[in-house]
Amino acid sequence: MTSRKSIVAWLRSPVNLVASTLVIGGFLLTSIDEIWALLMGAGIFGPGILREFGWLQDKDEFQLRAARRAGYHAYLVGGLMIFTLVALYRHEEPFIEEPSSLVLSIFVVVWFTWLLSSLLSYWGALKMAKRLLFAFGTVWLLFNIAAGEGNWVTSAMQSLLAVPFFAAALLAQRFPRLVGLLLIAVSIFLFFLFGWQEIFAVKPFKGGLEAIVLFLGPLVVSGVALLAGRRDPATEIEA
Amino acid sequence: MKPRHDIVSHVRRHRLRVDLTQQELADRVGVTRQTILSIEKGKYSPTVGLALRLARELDVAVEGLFELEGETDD
Repeated sequence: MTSRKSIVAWLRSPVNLVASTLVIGGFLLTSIDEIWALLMGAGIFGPGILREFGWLQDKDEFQLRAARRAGYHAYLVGGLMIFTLVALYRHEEPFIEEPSSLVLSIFVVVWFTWLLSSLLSYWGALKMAKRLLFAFGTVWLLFNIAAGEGNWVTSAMQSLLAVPFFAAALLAQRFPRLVGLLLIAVSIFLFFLFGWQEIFAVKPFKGGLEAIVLFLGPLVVSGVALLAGRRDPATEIEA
Repeated sequence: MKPRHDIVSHVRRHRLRVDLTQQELADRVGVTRQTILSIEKGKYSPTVGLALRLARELDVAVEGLFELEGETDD
């Protein structure tokens, strides 16, 4: 119930609507010209920049603290990643097929770190893990329905792939350690199932990390959060 | 010297005393319910401004809402 309320509140925020429109619109327009990626950048970073200037005041102090703390975490992770890549590239002859792909990988890692860190600070481990799993399951569900291309039997069968994620979200409260372990095991299985270890075998790295981060990231982070996070029933107190 | 500042929150007790829900208190002081929840659990220490607003809404002194626990060790 609270999740539904949160989603409705999120959708009713004019800032979120404008930002989402810019991101989706920018993404669609990149099929015409890649310059429209600038629109996506405005949607992703615009609200935060306006908040830092004090021109937009739609977040309370706890939300801002979570976002700023996450920004520091993203700076640390992004900085470490960049220095590692620079060291690797200078160590041996670099081979970059598409430089923008590498930059995109760095951005996705930084953004993902920021997002998860801010959610963790704001919601705590258990609530974050549950909501991530629900979101992940929903994305899988929608993706599989679309992949059915109008064939409802195929869509229904493929949609079953989303069920384990919803089940994990529901069971996370009661069995956090078990669900956490299962999520990490599933992540490792999927990593090798899709052959993602291959991207690290390319000399020394040429991008593609974003697929792994966006696909396995929520599962790994949810798993670690459930394993490491303290069970805290007070998180669910409503009144 | 490493001072420890463990804040003990009494916000929940005072909120229940005046018969407010977390959402109602959050609306009155201009924050989200999650912020009130985090303050009550002692996971977040509010700024002086928010502490004063909470104290005003709950009709109690700030010192009654928060207590500094712990000690200063060398």
